[in-house]
Amino acid sequence: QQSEPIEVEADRLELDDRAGTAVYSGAVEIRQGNLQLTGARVEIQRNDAGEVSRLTATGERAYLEQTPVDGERIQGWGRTIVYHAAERRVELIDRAELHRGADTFNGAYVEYLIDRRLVEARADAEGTERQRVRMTLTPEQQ
Amino acid sequence: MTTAERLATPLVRRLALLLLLLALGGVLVLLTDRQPTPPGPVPQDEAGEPDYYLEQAELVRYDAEGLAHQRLNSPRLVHTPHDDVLRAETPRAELLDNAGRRWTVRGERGTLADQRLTLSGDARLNAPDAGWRLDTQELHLNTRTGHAWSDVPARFEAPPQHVEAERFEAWLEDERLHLEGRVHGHHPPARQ
Repeated sequence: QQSEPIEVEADRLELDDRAGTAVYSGAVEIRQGNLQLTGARVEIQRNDAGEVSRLTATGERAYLEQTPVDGERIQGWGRTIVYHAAERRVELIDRAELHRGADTFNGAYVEYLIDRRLVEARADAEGTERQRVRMTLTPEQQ
Repeated sequence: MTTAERLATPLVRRLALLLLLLALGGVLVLLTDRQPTPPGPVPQDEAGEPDYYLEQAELVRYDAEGLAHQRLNSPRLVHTPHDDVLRAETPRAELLDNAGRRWTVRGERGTLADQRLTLSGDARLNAPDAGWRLDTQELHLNTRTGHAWSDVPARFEAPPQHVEAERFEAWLEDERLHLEGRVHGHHPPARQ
């Protein structure tokens, strides 16, 4: 999964070599294997080898979805979603919400480690007002 | 009869003259063989009769400080007076921007009119210093402002990534590039 290329569809791409930025905008859809990320605007950070190290999606609410072959479907929302490609780590920031199967997590900040399926939710995040953490955990059927 | 007298006889003088003529003829033949190949046919162009054409041409433009900052090479440049357009075969141009960065452009055909260079047929804008290049079928470049654009599909490559789009614009001085319309990007991810 991790080495699969990141494919982007969008209306526009703005590259600024001086600032070192690459910004896709206009109905941006990003796919990497079974991971999908959408937003109004996505900024791409690249390492020295030109590989994508980080994607920052923003929108009314940016959206993330992962449909693993063997596991629960993951859906995430946030005003900002940051995907760290090498670490396979996702940060949902501001009106953050994550659904993992039947479990749900809400707060100002939710972090999700894709390959280890670990979730951490917080009420505080930089630049946002405090948003209480709410979790709904569904007990396993006996 | 002494040798001098024998040499002075009319027969010998005639023979010497003949040998001289033959030698001269040989030199002339050699000279004509080394003439440059005759120029190609006078180009007929749909834009009308050219008033001049240049072969193996290099146009160089100098900036205010007298530095050569733009160069256009073409095996054949044709100028048509009524529209004041230079038409180039397989043109290659090299530009230096204000920061001394090098840009090159090339195409199968080109026209230069009023500082606007248009390249068509496998046109390419290359930014070696920035590490990217752009391929399209028709590329426009304002050689005064350093603004390049294309209104037909273009492919941007900055290995290992590449992006396709329906149009593009670049501002060479500002190192900014804008791709638009059904943009499709292909980016390898960083690995741990």
